[in-house]
Amino acid sequence: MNKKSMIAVLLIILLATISVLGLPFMTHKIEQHAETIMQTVTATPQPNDDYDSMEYIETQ
Amino acid sequence: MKLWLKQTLITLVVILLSVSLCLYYFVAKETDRLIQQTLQNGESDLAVFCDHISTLDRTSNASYDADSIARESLIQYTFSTYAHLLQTGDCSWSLVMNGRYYYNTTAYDPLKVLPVGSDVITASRMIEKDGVHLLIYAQNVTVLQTQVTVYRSANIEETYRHIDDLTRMAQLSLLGCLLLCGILLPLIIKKTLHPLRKLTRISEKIAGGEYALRSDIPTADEVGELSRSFDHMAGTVEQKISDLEETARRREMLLGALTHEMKTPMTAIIGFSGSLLSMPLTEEGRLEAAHEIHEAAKRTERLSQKMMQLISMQENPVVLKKNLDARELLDNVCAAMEPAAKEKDIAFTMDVQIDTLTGDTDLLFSLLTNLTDNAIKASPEHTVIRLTASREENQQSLSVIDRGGGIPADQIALVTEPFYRVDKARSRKLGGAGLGLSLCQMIAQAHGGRLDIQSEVGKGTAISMIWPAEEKKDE
Repeated sequence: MNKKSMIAVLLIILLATISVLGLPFMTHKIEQHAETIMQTVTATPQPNDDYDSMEYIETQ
Repeated sequence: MKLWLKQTLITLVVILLSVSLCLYYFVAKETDRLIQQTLQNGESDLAVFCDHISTLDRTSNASYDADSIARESLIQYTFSTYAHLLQTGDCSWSLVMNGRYYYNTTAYDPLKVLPVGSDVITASRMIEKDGVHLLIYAQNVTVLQTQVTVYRSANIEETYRHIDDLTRMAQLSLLGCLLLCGILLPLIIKKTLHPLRKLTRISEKIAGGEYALRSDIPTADEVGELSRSFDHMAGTVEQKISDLEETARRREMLLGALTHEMKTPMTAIIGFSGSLLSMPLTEEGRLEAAHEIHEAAKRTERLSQKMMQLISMQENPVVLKKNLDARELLDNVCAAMEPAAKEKDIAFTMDVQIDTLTGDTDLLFSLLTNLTDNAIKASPEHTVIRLTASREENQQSLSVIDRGGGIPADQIALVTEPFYRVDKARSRKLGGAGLGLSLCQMIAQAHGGRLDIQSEVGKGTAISMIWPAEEKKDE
């Protein structure tokens, strides 16, 4: 096997290694992304909101 | 780089990229789905829990006017009851009112990890504590005019384990696929390329001189087609080489024969001229020597003329075909050969069955004079030589028939070879070089025809040139 072939084989092994080791890296990134997009839902009360007069109404 | 290795590497790269792409897409989708499912479960659990707490507003007999301690106690009691019921190994609950814990079964401080303001409805956060992933949800609920914050902490390590398992499975699949392809691909590709290696071996052997070898790969694919083309090429090359070898052999023989033929008159010329120069000869002796030198020189000239014609026909067989008068041609030939025929008292008869012939006048004249000259040399004295011109269907022919000694059957095929003579001694004595019939055959071939020789020993010979008849419009 000549030098060129050796380089090609090594490149493919490198590519395969990157592909195999890249999988956990990718899932870790997805997890990190999920952690960063945790949402906080807020509601700012309006001055004319009259919560006391609100009634619970059951609808059919 | 060898072709099999190149193909293996290219295929491996394609497989690696394709499988990686599919696995990455699958793992990413599945990871995202598992995380979203976990988040949705936590969110819906908390919402259901908060709904349960909220029912206090409708089901409790406690008046809104009751003091806050009573309300808080009721809320705490209700919460702890539900929390106790829903408590699992993975999930724990916390209740915060007025910045104080009323219930907390978590091992950490949710208020510090996820502080929730009064304007917040829901909030969530994912944390890692002591190597354990936790998903914390918080929701503000107003129960019995009191705002409470409910925390749900869930251990989502199971989800992460699922994701890890999935990733490991994908890694193993990718590795397994690559290993399998790495082992099988070279074997398959080598097997596929085997015919090419055979073709290479055969071509090397052919280049080494074994021209009869063929690859004979019977497959119907591209390699089979290449093999058939290669074999066809090898056949053509073999034929060409065979022709070239034959031509070289003929030339060598021709050269040898020519040298031999030239040697005889040259020996006579040198011998007699030497005698003239060095020996005191009588007047009669000098005349005889001069006559011999003259005859030898004439033979040499005839030989060179024939050779010139022969070489000219070989190198440039140009035929200027045109319609010519058959009788006139035969008359001219008889007239030209008349002196030689008279020496042996030989008469000519003509049998002209057609008016015109198509062909090259000079070449046909040369052919007939050569054939007639041979006939005169072969015929005994006081005989007749017959010249004919005829046509049958699309074939026209010119023949010279004599009543000479004839040619043995086994030599008929050889008489057209240059310098071949049936009776060598007699022919040389009569001044023949053995080139006449070779020249006649070339003339016949140049006209697209052939030389037909019919002969019987002791009875005579009939030599005909037969060639296709075609009408030419004279300009």
